[in-house]
Amino acid sequence: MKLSLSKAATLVLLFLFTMLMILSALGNPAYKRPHVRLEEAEGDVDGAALTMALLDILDEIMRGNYTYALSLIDNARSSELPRHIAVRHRDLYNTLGNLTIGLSRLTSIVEAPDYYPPEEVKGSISMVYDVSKDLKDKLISYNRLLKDYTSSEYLYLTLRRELALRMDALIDESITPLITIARELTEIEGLDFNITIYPRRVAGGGEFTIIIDTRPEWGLCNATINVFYGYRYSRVYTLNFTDLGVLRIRAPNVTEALMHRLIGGGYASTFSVRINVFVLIRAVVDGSLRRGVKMGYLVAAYGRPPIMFDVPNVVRYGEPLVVNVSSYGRFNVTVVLDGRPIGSYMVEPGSSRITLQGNVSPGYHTLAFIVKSGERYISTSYSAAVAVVGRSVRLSVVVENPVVSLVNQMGLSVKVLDGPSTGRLRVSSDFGGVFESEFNGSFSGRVPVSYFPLPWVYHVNVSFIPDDPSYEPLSLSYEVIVINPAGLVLLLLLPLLLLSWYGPIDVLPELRRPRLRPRGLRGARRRVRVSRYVEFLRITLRPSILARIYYSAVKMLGLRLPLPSETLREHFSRVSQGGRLRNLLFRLMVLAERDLYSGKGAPKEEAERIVEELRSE
Amino acid sequence: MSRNSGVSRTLSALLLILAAVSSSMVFSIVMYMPTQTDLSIYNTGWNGLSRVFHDLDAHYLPSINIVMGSEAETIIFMPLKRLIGDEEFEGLRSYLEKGGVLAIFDEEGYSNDFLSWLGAGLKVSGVAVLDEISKYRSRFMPLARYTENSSLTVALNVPSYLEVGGGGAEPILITSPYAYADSDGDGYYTLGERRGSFTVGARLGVGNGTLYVFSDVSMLINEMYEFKGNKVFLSALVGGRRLYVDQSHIEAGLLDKLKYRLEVIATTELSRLSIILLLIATSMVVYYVYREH
Repeated sequence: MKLSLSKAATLVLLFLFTMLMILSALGNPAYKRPHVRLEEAEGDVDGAALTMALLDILDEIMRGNYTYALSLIDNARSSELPRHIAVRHRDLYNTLGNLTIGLSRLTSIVEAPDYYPPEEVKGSISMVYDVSKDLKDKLISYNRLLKDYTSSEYLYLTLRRELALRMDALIDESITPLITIARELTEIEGLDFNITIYPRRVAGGGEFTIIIDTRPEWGLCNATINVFYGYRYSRVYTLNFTDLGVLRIRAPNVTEALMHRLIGGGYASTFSVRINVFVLIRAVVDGSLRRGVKMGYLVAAYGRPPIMFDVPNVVRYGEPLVVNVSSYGRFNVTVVLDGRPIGSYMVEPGSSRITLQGNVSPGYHTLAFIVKSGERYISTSYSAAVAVVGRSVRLSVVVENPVVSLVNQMGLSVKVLDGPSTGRLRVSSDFGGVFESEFNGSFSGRVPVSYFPLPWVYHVNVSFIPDDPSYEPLSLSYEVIVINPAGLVLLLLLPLLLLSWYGPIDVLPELRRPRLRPRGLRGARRRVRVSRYVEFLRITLRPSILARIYYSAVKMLGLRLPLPSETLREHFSRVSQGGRLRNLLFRLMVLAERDLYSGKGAPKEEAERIVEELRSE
Repeated sequence: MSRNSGVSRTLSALLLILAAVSSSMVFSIVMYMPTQTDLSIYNTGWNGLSRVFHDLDAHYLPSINIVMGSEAETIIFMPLKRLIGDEEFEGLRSYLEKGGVLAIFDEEGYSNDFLSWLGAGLKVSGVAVLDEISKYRSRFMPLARYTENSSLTVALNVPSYLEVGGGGAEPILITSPYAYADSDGDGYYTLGERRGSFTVGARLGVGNGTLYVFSDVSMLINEMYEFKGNKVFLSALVGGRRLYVDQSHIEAGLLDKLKYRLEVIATTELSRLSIILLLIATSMVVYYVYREH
């Protein structure tokens, strides 16, 4: 079977269609971090994250941030978890919520004891005591449940230990002292005196003063001063004085505050700790030992170092890494590269630069800046990822554009201007045409762009991969117009070829007039090929038998035969005479016409009978 | 001979029909078949942007030049899966300075060079943020609170976090304090991993315009669009402006590219004329072939 252009075009279309289907199916490129489908992500639980959330909430309770702790508890309680975890999870958080409310009430009691009747105080103390015991059991049970959902045994054990320590600390350093103070405050009645604390806000590690103002007639007074740091830990001081007692205390510095977990957790830039001061006075008044209690507070503030590091994402191999630093203080900064300290710098207030020298190998590296803590600033680490890329190569590339080529080959000239001269040269384009070659400083020649014959615009990538690994490969992209003369001709011929869709077209049938056309024009066919895509159909026509009979009758009558330019009727009107002969000849001519043109033929017998009649005339 | 000719004619006719069908199918596919490309406006699957595109009555952004001159009435959503090129910086800044709103959705740091060049004081960390407490059914879908309407929470999908420092940017989307940065990428909390509230969306005034940066591109995808307050949040972000969706920074497939071309053609008067002329020419050819046979 011959393959005409129309069929070839059909096949090409089918091919394109198939390719499009395949491409559309493959059109989902990989991405570095995919989105997660809900059904894939559901059901999996991170036990360590749940435990850490619990530790955070315990910390907030111990810091005395009860309102915030309650909002965290509310949030955590409503977390969506698998049913078997959710039941215990909610139970635990309900208990934790009750404890927080109880502790909040106890705090209110110790801060304003006069407003609470003794029954309510006792009730609150009893409630906190019971709930704290219950909470410990539930914590242990909850923690066991999360074991299977923690990524490693080591992590599980570490968190379990943390949880136990935190719970013990909550009971020993927060709940128990609060209960004790609450009891004392509500049970003691008597001496009325004033305390003044200044300043009311102090930086971490700063000093504050407590002034106890009694009456001169009380004589020697003995004061026991309980200082509670966020209800997490306390210090007890004693002081003997008359009339006016003064005590200077230093607020915990950052290290101490971190050690006692007064601050930390989250990445807030500032922290404040409430310091509650309870002063218990004993004095002999009117011959009897009397006592009195007063409470006051101040706030200690801590913060993260006000310093920023601007680290470039990318640095070239061999070039120094310059980090711009903005600071509002003087800080000692240790620089750590991939976990290894590489230097220590003193950063002054204002803008400055840290320049890191050294040949860091190409690739991704982690750079960290550890800012050492002072009295009020929390030691903080800032980290950033840096990509060290190889040194750059400079190339001179001359690309022939537009390209006129029968084989779609593009002229290319490449020369190294700066960098290593040896490597591999690679040229690729949108559709095929990959060329790869060793490169020794320069290249000049023709490279294939594509196998696609039609004129097209291609994106051509010229890549140079140096042998020296300290240099980055260089890739340059160009848009090149490629005109294939053969393709262009094909494009121009395309409309003509499209017209030949339904097989070869009978563009010039050869008709031999003198032989008279047979019936139905159904002569022998013969194809005459002119070119690959064009062929003619030659139809050799058989003569009509009735036309021959008509011709013989004309000859018999001694008349002239029809000229090649004449139709039968033209000839008849020229040569016919009157009378019966004319009628008979006309009937014979009509029969010949029917045989020639009607496509259905005509009765030969009738024609022969007419000829006989003509002969007899 | 005549039998062969008949078979050939039938085959030719079949091929003709097949060609016509396949041509129309190719055209139909290009026009109507959804793609599977991540973040494509033509992807009606779970990870496409078709819902955002249609619900918010968005337009395809072939070039930044389209919105030049109407900056104050437009907003651009720019989901990123590839770098913003250096050559685009000036155009984007100009658009912003003249009153445009640009919302960059980037969870891997493709916009960092641009943000640094702009002096935005923002950096996309590229580290995933997970949250086991404040989440939408999975820790990989943490919730973030909209600072301007605390009752509105946005469900994210494996976001990263923004480092905000200097430049005047203000956080507008913040995770819960239970969130943690999954630095080692194992999907679980590991000791030492950073924890706390993370900024996942920030706003910065640039000239007369506003730049939004979100460290989660997935909040736009079809599956996330209906979750929690995402739809409301994105609508509020658009705020009556004419929305354009940029597609030049995603890994578009061939089908997407063809559709983009058609999208451009469909909106160009000159191209409409070309299509009409092409249709007339095709009809004439078909009519001619029909008459001949």
